[in-house]
Amino acid sequence: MVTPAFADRIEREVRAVDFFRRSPSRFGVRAFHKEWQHFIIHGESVQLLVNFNLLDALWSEQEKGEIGRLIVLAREHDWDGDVDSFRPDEIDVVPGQLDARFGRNTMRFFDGKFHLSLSLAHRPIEAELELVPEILPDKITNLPLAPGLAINWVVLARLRATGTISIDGRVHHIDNALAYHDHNWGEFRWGDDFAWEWGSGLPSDSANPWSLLFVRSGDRGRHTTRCQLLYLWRENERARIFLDEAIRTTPQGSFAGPQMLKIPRVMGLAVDENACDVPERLTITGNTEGDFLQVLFEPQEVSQIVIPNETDLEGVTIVNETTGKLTLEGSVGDETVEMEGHGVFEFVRN
Amino acid sequence: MAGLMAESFDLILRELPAAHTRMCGPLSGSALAIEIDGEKFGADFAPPGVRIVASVSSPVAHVHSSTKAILDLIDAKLSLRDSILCDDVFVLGPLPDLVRLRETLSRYIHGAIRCPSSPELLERFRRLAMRHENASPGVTDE
Repeated sequence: MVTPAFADRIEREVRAVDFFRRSPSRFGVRAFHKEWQHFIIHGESVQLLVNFNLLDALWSEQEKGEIGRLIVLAREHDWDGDVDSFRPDEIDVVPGQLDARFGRNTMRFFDGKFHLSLSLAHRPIEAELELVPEILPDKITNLPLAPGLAINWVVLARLRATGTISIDGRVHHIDNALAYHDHNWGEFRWGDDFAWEWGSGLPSDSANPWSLLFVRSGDRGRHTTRCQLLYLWRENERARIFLDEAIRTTPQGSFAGPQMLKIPRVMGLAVDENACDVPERLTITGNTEGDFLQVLFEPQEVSQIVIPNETDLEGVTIVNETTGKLTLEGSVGDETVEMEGHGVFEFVRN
Repeated sequence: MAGLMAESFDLILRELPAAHTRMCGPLSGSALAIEIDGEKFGADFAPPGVRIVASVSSPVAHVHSSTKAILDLIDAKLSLRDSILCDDVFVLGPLPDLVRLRETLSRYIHGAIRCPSSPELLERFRRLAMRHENASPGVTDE
């Protein structure tokens, strides 16, 4: 339960850390800025992933400034979604604030809530949602990504979402559903020497107090791990952080599913194989100072965001967006940790 | 259709010349005969680039399709393999040339997806495909 005083504190802290940074390219320097605001909503009958994404236009001498991409994936029984692109004159994002307009799509933060209004250009997916944070934001800076490159992060591991999600005319009413939000920014190029695994976990039973976040980054061949984080929250407080050597990950098997959705859809013409380099099961353990946590993630569905590399003309980085069953158990301090719920993991490969 | 295809090649040449060079490589010195919605034209890959022309004399491959089928490919309603299997896309030529054509298509997609002006051109293609679909026999206004 969030008291009004705590809600005010959350709002102040969100405004203080979660604002758009934007690229230094607006001052005329060449930059490789990437930045996105990411939301996941776990409705009873639908899951929705939304990403307001900014990146410097690197490929054209004529085009300058940041372009916008709105990435939306929605799942009833199967995934649907797309990536809509926006030129610099179609986006309105003020640095230092938490408001974005990409064409007719908006993300706003006011009255202590995120407000999302979405309508894809070529897929029948629309959403009108309010998301109320129930937890203080965590800011994690300078996470090693590739040699000399880092990524920064603000995470809100637990929110409540209310509103509607419409897919091909079917309207899903979302009422206080659990949700996740994060915000990343940094200077790197798609195609640089990195891969990552990232995952969030929220309970199926919204009365269960636990929330989870996992991050691992390494080289593209995954011979070297550069950093690992495992965060656990209880209700609206951080309960434990496991770091680097305290974490062991064990992937098993190879996920094989039906033909995966790839977005942008046209990239299916250039990357037509159905391989995804996602394990069948992923076990993550955190173990330090008497505290122990074991996470089991079992992927059920994979869709792929195919990003053209900026380091070469025909390579791609593939973000395997994976949903599945997540089981959590362990003990932290004097408490037993138990949770079954939804996991959303990204397996990023290039 | 021939005009839009020529524009898309010019767009890649203008915005990403290295990708245009890569795209023209596999079929360099060859030509394709193309027919889209009954409109016949050719793509001549005479070095150093590619030109859309009214006709070609010795094409290494023939490609027949429709704007609707191409839009279905772009929107991933059908895979390229399934489009060929159901004759939405018809290709005829020696296998080595078809392999070079497939590589050219892949490089074209990689070039176009990186060009900032491609979405605008794609919107124009969508409007063209819609006009063709509405004008097709058998389609009546309710």
